[in-house]
Amino acid sequence: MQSKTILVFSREIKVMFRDRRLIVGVLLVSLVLMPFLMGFIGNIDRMLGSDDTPVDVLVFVEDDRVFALLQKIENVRIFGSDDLMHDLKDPYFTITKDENIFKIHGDGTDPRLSRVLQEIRQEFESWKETLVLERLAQAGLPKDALSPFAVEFVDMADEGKESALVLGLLVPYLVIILLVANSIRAIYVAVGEKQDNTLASLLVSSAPRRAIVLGKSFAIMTFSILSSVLLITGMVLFANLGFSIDSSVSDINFSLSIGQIIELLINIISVSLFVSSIIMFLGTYARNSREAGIYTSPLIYITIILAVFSISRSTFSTKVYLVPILGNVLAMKDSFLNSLSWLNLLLPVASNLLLFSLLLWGSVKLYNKESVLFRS
Amino acid sequence: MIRVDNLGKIFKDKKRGEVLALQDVSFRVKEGEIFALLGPNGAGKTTTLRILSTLIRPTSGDAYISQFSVQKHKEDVRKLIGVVSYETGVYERMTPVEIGYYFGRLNDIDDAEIGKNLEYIFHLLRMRDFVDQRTETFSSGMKQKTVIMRALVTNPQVLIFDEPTSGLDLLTAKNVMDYIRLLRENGKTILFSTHILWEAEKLADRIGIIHKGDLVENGSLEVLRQKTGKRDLEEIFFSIVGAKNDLLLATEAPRSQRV
Repeated sequence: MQSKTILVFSREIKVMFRDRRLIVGVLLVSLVLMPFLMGFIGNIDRMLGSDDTPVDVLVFVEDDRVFALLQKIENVRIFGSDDLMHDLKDPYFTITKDENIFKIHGDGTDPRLSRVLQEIRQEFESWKETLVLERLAQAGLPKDALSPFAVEFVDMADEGKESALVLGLLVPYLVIILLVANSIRAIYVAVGEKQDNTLASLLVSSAPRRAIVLGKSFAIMTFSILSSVLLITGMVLFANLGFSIDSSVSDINFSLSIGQIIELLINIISVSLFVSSIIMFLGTYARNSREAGIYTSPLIYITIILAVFSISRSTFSTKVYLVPILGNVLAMKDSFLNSLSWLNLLLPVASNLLLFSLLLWGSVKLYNKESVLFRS
Repeated sequence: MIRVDNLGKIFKDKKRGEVLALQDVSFRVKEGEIFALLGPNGAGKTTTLRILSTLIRPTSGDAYISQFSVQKHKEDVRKLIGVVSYETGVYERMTPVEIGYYFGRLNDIDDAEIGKNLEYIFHLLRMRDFVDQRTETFSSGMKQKTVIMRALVTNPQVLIFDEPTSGLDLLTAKNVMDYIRLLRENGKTILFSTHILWEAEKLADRIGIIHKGDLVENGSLEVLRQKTGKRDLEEIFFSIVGAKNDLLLATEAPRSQRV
């Protein structure tokens, strides 16, 4: 049976690689479209060049010290009430004083104003602090009279761990969705024989039904893993070439230990087996690609809902790791954070393998069911 | 070589309920003989051939290829048969050579023998000009040749053709008929179904007339002539089918309907 499985698998892979539309589609999406989109979304502000444009500040306060502190801020043009005729550029701030309250007016949704506002507040805070210290000194009180102690958090995480956290939160989410989406693209492997009327010849051959189902499932799995790896490679390459998902992620350290790589491989292969067996089952039941598309579309939505938990920073009980897809994303996240226990890896893998076997058995059953094979 | 004993098949249909497709069909095909199953659309020809090909199971009765039951010894039966159907497609992104090797290997035939078989088949079916081209651009005639090649690559003793000329132009259909004749000359046992009278008349050693799931007559053309007193197969066919229809109407128990 093994040799027949390999025969069916090799044929499916060969035919898939000859499908120009499929290959060009995967290459375009993986190496061009997705990285470009991610880069574009992450760098849209930088591309628009908005960060370098100076922000205008119109000051209605007759106090030279206010002008002096504002001058310390870069990329800010300061105007007094005498300069009202000046051509102010949007967005801009106005600073007024009501009693002893300095009021800064501006559009809070504008990202450039938000950045400058932070700096203005900092300058006002340090001015306030200086004044308080002066008054304490005049009253003969110690410096810490108004502030007996401070609380400070010292972040002990090294750069690698921070990168791992970003990877652990983001990558499992992307990987699992890509795996499922790419598996669905390979559904023709399962439904094609029926759609193109080649199934009868295959069933009349000496190949056992189990070998046919296994060979096709492995082909779907291989395609899904290869195309997902390609896509991640594309994203990594573009990140290294200057595009990044987010400016905070640009310094990510992508290096993984051998142990982590093995964990990830076991995890990805097991979840691919499970997903490819679902695709195989649904594809075998469907009459044609269109019908198969209807059956598989809920799968991607369920995956998105389950995968979103990988972004959560909460900890989950061990039982949750038994839920396929959810267990896999959590285990993947733990791998990146270097906190995966063997139990939490074995649970999703065992659940994947069990479901894979059941679905495979179901597909073989369907391959023996006349009402499914010759449905019109 | 082929023995069909009281074959019956009922399909379960959600809309129509239970549909009787075959009832008590029995016939024999000797080694090296061409047997034609002749009948209108929906008569039960394809169902009979699918049972013999091990694709579907009979509800009652059994059929044998050589000594092997199509129900109990499917694997042995599959090694003995080659199947060609009018609705069979070909793998579009493969060449006839690749398809030949694929099906040969799936049937446990070694590469040397597959190569030898393919050489002979390509010569027989005049396929040499396009054996290394992918089938996606093939005409219907070229595709039909590829389908026949796929059935022959295992060098089966029994060939089952389900309406092999359906949908083909006259010239290609005639070629297919010629190939079937050639195969008989090569010692193959051939069972084919058709609703085209002249094909059965020209090719078959014996003819079985099937109507509404019932094999109403079977024998050589000469025997059918003697039984009906008619000369021409068309007249024979309509006299047998017409008599059967009259009988069914009289008993008000139409076959191939709900049971």
